[in-house]
Amino acid sequence: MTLKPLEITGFLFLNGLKNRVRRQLQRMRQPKHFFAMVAGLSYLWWIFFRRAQLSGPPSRLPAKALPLVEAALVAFAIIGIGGTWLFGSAKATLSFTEPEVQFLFPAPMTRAMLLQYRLSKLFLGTLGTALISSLFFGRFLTAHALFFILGSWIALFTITLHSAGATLTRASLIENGRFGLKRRWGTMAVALAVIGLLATWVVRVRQPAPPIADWSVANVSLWVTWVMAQRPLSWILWPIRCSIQLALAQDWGAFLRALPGGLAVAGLHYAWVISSHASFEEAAVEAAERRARLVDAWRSGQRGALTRRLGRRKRTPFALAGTGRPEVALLWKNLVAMFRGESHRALLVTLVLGAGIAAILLKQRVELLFSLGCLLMAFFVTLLGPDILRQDLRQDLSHMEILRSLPLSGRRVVLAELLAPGLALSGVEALLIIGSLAFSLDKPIPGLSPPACLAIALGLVLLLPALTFLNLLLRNAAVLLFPSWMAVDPHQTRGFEVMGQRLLTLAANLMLMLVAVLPAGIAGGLLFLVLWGSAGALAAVLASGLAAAVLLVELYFGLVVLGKLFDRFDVSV
Amino acid sequence: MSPIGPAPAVLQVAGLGKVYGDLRAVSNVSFAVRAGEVLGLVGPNGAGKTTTLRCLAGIIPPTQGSIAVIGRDLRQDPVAAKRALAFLPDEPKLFEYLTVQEHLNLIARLYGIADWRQRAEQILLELELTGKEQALPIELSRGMKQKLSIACGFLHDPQLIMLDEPLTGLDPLGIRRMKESLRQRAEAGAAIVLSSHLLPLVEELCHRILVIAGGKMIALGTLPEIRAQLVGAGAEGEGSLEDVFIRITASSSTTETR
Repeated sequence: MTLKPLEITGFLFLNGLKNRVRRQLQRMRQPKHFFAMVAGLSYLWWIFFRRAQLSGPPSRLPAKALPLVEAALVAFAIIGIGGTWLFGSAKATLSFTEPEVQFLFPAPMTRAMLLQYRLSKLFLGTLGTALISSLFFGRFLTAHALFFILGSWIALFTITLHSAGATLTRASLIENGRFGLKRRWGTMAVALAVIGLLATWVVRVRQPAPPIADWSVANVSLWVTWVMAQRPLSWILWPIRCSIQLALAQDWGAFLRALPGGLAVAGLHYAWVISSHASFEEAAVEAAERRARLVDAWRSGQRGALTRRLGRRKRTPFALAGTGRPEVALLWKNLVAMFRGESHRALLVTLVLGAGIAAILLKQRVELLFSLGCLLMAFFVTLLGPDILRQDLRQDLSHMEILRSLPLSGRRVVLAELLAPGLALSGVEALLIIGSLAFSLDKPIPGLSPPACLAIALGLVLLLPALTFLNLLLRNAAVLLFPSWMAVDPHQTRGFEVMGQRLLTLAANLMLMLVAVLPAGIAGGLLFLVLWGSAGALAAVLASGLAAAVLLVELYFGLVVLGKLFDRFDVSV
Repeated sequence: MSPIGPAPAVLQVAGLGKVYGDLRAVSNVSFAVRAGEVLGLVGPNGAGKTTTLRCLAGIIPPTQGSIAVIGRDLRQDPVAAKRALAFLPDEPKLFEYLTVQEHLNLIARLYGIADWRQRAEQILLELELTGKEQALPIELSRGMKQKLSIACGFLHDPQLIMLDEPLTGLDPLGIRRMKESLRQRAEAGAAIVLSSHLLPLVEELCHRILVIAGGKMIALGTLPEIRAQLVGAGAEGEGSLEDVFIRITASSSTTETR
């Protein structure tokens, strides 16, 4: 009996889908998964499907703009193909998963059958991409979304085949040693020659582009259509255009006219890939292992560890003595993770962008805007900073077994886990507030005297760190209450449900923050009203101090509760 | 291994049980491990060995029963109890962003070890990890990761060591050194609970053996004692641990099926 690659793909796809649906339905017996799924599906319906339709009113895009869209897509395809040839992997990498490598590579299958299997998976994958693309673009580009789905499916599959073929051809050239070490130069020289010839030809065309003054959609469209129709450019572009024209077909006639060409190009590409003699197996095994390591790194919360060049070391934030409070060890560990990972870069990029905007504003002598910008940024860090710096229980969920075996009470572990992101974000907030103050003292915010600005800044320095720690506490509470909602690896994501979980978590987090802030706000507000007449600006500092104290009390009780939850946390559930 | 003399119990387990929903993973397990004793935990797949070990290490809370380490109740005084124990899982769980040395530094601070550098140097030498101090886990082989996990477990010189398949991934030399290291630690007074499917290893290292199947204790004692129990049950009084294990677990599964 001979194994048929399409049967394997179908078997794996259908059974995978069936088991996934069955598992999803089982999960939905639990209310938390059910509501997450409902929330995810509702969101998806509201954002995408409510507006999607397979047929209906004519496309919104004017017909005269279609040649421009087609030209843009052709240009994208050329850039993509050129990139594959010029900068593609030096090895023939057709990605297989580890189970595929384990079960299919030693199976009685020929090399061509393995390729057919992989290509059939790509065929299904590109259908998914085409469906998603049609949700975004289909109804704007064609009168009938079905054309767009079928056409873009064939076009995307052809481009994917071309990419695979290019990779295999490069690998074959390397294996045969025709170009040796200079293979990249050779490929680049050929590509540059083609581009040069095309450029020369475009410059010499008899009809130049219309002057900029006449750059209407109609004029540019006419010119683009004329250029693309000229030989030999039209011959060179034909294989790309016939696939793209399928996706942009406005009626059945146009679709059926483009179909034979599109199918022929796809078929030729398929034959090219299947007939390749380059060995891909070794690179595929290597890629599967790399992918498995990536999953492991995801599980450990350290995507950055893999992207970092091996051997590159950074200093630790401080030397950790062997004795002293053990919580400091977890703070130290999480700071190391923060500075060796990628997350702090997002915060740094945001701050650098902020500084750049500030520099422009200062050059324009608008200190007031800079001052207010710093304040806004400080609030942004308080609210969203905990989403960027996640070096706490969220990162350590996959290491719960280690944390649970440590000789530390739950409360101390939870406190230690909050310290690294909490202190880092508080530091950033303090710097932003100082920056805001420095410029508001020179040119005060209208209606506020310099002492008032100073009082507000002092108040915020007290208040924002307390709010940040409370925000972190709530996010870590979610880890202990709903650990199954925390994605610790890319394979754990479950589409609509995960989307729903995130929406619900965000909403619950915002609501809880509001509830938690309310007592502090009331206490601080009342004190401010009482003292405002007698203490002046100092009232703002005292009121903020009281509000921060209330938040710290809440934080303490929150730590007690989370500590108990941690002590009862069952890593096996 | 020859039996050891009377010594204080480092680990005392009474009526341990763990339930997951409708599944009773571990049921009414009771035993004690004395200082210097090596107890082998054997059983078929899904018998409840790892769940038992995780309960003993304080990683998961038991549903029933009590566990005391050096006389400290794991539920009432978990910090003192955990300070005295080390748990080495079958799959090494390491922090991907910390180097070998930083792992040891972290453990040192968590357990309050002032002279950790000297101890670490000694253990790394013993486990052949010298020269790998600055390596990240991603740069280590599976066996080296296992060794690092072992080094972290041994650094605070625990009085109770629990190991789940400790030889997975180790090369023959590593296996020999590991066995020697466990023997030395037992002789120095550590109590060891070792779970493994490698029955010759269990037979070679362990003073007593606890057989569990279906979450229940099937037999507890030295190999001759367990053989004697089988003779009482009508079986022959000879054979290796493998023979004994197969007879016990087969009769246990037959009983369960009935």
